[in-house]
Amino acid sequence: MNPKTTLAALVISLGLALPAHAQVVIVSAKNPISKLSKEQVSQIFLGQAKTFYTGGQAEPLDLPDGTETRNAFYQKTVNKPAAQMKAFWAKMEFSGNAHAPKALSAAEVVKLVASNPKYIGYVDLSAVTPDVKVVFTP
Amino acid sequence: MSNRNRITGALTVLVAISPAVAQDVFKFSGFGTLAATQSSEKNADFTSTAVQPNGPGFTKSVDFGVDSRVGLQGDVKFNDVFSGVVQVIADHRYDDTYTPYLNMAHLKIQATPSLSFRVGRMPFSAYLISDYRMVGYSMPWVRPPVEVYQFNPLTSFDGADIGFRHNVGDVSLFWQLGGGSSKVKTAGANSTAQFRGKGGALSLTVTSGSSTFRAYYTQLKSTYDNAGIDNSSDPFSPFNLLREQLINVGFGPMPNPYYDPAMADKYQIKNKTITYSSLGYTYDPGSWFVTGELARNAGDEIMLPQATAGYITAGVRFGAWTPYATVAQRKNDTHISYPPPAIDFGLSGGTPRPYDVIANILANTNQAQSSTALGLRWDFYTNLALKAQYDWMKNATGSYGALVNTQPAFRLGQSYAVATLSLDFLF
Repeated sequence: MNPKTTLAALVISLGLALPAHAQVVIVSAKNPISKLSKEQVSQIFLGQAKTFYTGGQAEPLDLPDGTETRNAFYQKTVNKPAAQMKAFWAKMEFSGNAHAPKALSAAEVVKLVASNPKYIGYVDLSAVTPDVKVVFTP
Repeated sequence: MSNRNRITGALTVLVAISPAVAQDVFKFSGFGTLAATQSSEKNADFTSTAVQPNGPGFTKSVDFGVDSRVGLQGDVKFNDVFSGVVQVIADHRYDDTYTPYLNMAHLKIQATPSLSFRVGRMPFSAYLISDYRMVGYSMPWVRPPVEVYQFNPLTSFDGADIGFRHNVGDVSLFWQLGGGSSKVKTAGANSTAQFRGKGGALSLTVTSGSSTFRAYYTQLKSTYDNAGIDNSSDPFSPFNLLREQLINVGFGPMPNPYYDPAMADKYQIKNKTITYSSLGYTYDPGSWFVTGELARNAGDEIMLPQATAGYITAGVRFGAWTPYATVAQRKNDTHISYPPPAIDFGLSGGTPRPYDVIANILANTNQAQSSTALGLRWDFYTNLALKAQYDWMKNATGSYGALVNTQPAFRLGQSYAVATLSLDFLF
């Protein structure tokens, strides 16, 4: 491999690694939390924890079904691909035990999260605004 | 009411009727399974629940009634505190129809993020997956292992429960304490029978990382009504005959040679204590899983044997393909001994002797068996899964296992195979 192609490969791989499409977990800038662990995020999004570790109410928000960001988020955070998440919510909803999070567009998620410290969402890093803060990167 | 409250109230009404919000308030969804099942035992019918009157084997070559079902659910969420759910299911019932029935109808009050109350009709969750055993898409197999899931015919209960969720570090704990009553119609010999119970239940579900652990205990005061064996207006029905001191055999009352109320009290299920307990564990890190359960029924000595059952299933996920294997066993803990009468008195009219009838009931309730299953799940499209499963079943000595409608040529304690192809769907 000559130096030029090595450089091109490096640029491409850096380009792919650029965080513009990385998923980040966000809460309101008003939320006292600054950092969450993978386990904490996972429990909130699976309905196994209804509060943040600070004690405040936690309500997760989803992106629309089938979107790449949503699938990547669950694969990395909960280790479950889309079909397994479907099976998980089928058992929670049809047993009457819990409901899947509300699914909204990325802009709506950011807007709702910014408005109320109880909300927690995940979006592409590029969608983050100053009203929300990143507490976890899968 | 202050003006401000009036305005808030009016706004609430406006918000509640605006269509955008209505979508969030009401939600309709459903699930179902279409499954074809074949059994190699041609002198009896295979069943997957305690209420199915027939199945593949003798009655049908290929049967769609073992695992097929459709469920419709309506969810209503008034606000963060009040919500409700109604679920109607159609599947193969005691009367050989698919008449829909109400499986759930309850109101939930989420008093705080960690404390909830439910009142109404709820799933009877005696085992790890009882809550969603109707939802084929949500489970690895074509049906939950019959060794455990045929223990108890009850699928829902009417009452109330309290749920409490808390976290200890990264461990999530969920406690549920409930009470109420439950009943289900089962297919009885020549008649429809009903099993009912009243009592309380406690469960604990612990989740940590990829592990889920669940423990459950319930105690029920149970009664089994079956006109075939305890019709109170028929003095010659087996349990009544045991209780009558005098019988009328045509030429006037005479002492009943079968009079044995202690035996009737012992075996008849009238306000008897039955307990169900289970321990379940699942480890599911994503690319593979293992799940197992140990369940037991106990309580008063009655015509149902006390038994312990368990299974273990492991599967590996290769993209959309999930092959899995299960081993399962159900063993009787109480040996049902039936003392035959010293003298055969015989009664005119060909009435079966109560001893024989009771001995027959006791033999029929023996469901001890073991099985090995291999299966493959294919998640070929969104909300659709195709499964194929092959079971090698072995009835224990003297046991009918999961079989009903046994024919004269049927032999107890034999092995047979069950093959199933199913399509699970969500909508």
